[in-house]
Amino acid sequence: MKPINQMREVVVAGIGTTRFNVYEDKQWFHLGGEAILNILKDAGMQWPDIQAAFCASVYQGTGSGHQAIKEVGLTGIPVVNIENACSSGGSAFRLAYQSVAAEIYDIVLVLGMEKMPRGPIPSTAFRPFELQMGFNVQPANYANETVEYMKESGATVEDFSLVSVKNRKNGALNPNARFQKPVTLEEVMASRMVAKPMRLLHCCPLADGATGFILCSRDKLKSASKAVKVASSVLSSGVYGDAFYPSALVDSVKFPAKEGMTEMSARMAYEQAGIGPEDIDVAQVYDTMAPSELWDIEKMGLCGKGEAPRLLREGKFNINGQIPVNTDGGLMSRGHPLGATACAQIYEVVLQLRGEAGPRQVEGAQVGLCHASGAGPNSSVTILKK
Amino acid sequence: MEAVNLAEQLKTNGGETIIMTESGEKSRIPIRKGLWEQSGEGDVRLIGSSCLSCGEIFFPVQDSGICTHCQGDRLEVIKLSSQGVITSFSVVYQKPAGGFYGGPIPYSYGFVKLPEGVKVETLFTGCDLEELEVGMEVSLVIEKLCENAEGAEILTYKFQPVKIKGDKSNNVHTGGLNNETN
Ligand SMILES: [Zn+2]
Repeated sequence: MKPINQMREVVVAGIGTTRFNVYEDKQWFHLGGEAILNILKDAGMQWPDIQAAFCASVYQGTGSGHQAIKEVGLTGIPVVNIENACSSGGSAFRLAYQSVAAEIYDIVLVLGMEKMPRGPIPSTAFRPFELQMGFNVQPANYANETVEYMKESGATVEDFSLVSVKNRKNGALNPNARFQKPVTLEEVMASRMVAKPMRLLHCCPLADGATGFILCSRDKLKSASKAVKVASSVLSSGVYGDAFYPSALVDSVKFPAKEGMTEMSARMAYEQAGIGPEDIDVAQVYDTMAPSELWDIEKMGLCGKGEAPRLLREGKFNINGQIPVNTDGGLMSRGHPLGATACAQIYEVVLQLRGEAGPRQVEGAQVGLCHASGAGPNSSVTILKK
Repeated sequence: MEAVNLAEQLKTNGGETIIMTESGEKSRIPIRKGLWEQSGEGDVRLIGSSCLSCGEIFFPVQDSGICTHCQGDRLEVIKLSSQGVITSFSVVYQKPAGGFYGGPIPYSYGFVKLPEGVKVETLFTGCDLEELEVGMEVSLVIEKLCENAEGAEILTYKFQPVKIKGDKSNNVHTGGLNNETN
């Protein structure tokens, strides 16, 4: 097995997105098509330049990527659809990255998209009796994890309410976010209880959207100044004995995991990139529910266990802090079109490394990390370098 | 006693059972076969798997017959303890997505650690949901979850507090089948 970091260098040549919003009059393929045109324009490339397409979505069904590609035109290239729940975009990105690193292709497309289903959602992420017993409520599953985190870290409801406040403040600076209005701590704490102790404003909103990239070898770039290097792109799909309540997985008391799935994905990403958490200038950490940002910041190694609530209060994760987290407002502001979410995180980090993030620009950002996890379970981590 | 009758019927046919009530016949169906077992005395236990190679314990029974810890294939079916401790829980205030859940709302679910070490994801019952606490001792009951389209009662396992704080009365339900107030 050859380490991927000894293979060919891969760069992000172009990025593109739609605004994340609720679209009643558009399907996912309309959004996907719109994103593709934006990506091509940004990369300065033509559609026939693309040699393969890796398309991520969760709820769109058979041939969903093909439908988006058809909006631009079939050219005989392979189109592969990737479903890995909330890590779908990160999983598609990883496969695209590998295919260029391994010199199978020179120029490939990554596309994450979702039009979130309205009404009943067929679920394959839980067993039938778990669904019938109502165990598929993700705010409640995260609530269970939150109860344990609060016990271990001493974090309070106010602590994770401050995650919502920070992210919604950042989202107010992001024209592509679904919600662009800040919220106060009082509003978060007074919002409707959804699944104790999770309130409405602790949960990311629903949104539709599409985001994607062109990845290529450095010699294929049209604009070298825009290039951002893929330092690593990894995926872990669960570890024995590690609890992951969003997938109804309990920890093993007899044989607890030596290293959890999320920690493992972070370690692999740092190893592949040849850097450590201290080198990260900006991070997009999975905030599908406000408290998960806190424990995932810790699991990414960006601070010690149980330290995130205090450091959040001290402003360490603000845009002008030491390690800005979810600078574009995160899932909390963008909304969560499942297949597009991990791509939106990468989009933001590319903007930051290019210095194109406008009012939310992190000064001098050189290295950024993106983390998405969810049902399966899956945890994907992508590290990008200027 | 109804609980005993039901237990015997469950024992004899291992699944669906017909109960005579004042309003006529009513069918009771476990949510899934093989999640629990009830003795003739009404003693109810969850059923799990134990790996004879490494000692790991699973709930529910491993359908594959393989231990997912050591991949050994020598598993035995075991009866799990019917009391445990709440390690975490949530109270859900809105109907879950997907239309799979037909029980009452709000409802509570979370995790109970049994003395064997295994954690069980479960619904909670038998008290005001606001009274649930981490660390609370709870015991197993079999209760109605909902009715299916044909009007049959779907039964499931739940855990309820052994004793409610501040309530001196004995809150232990022996058979559990008499508690269908939700
Ligand atoms: Zn074993």
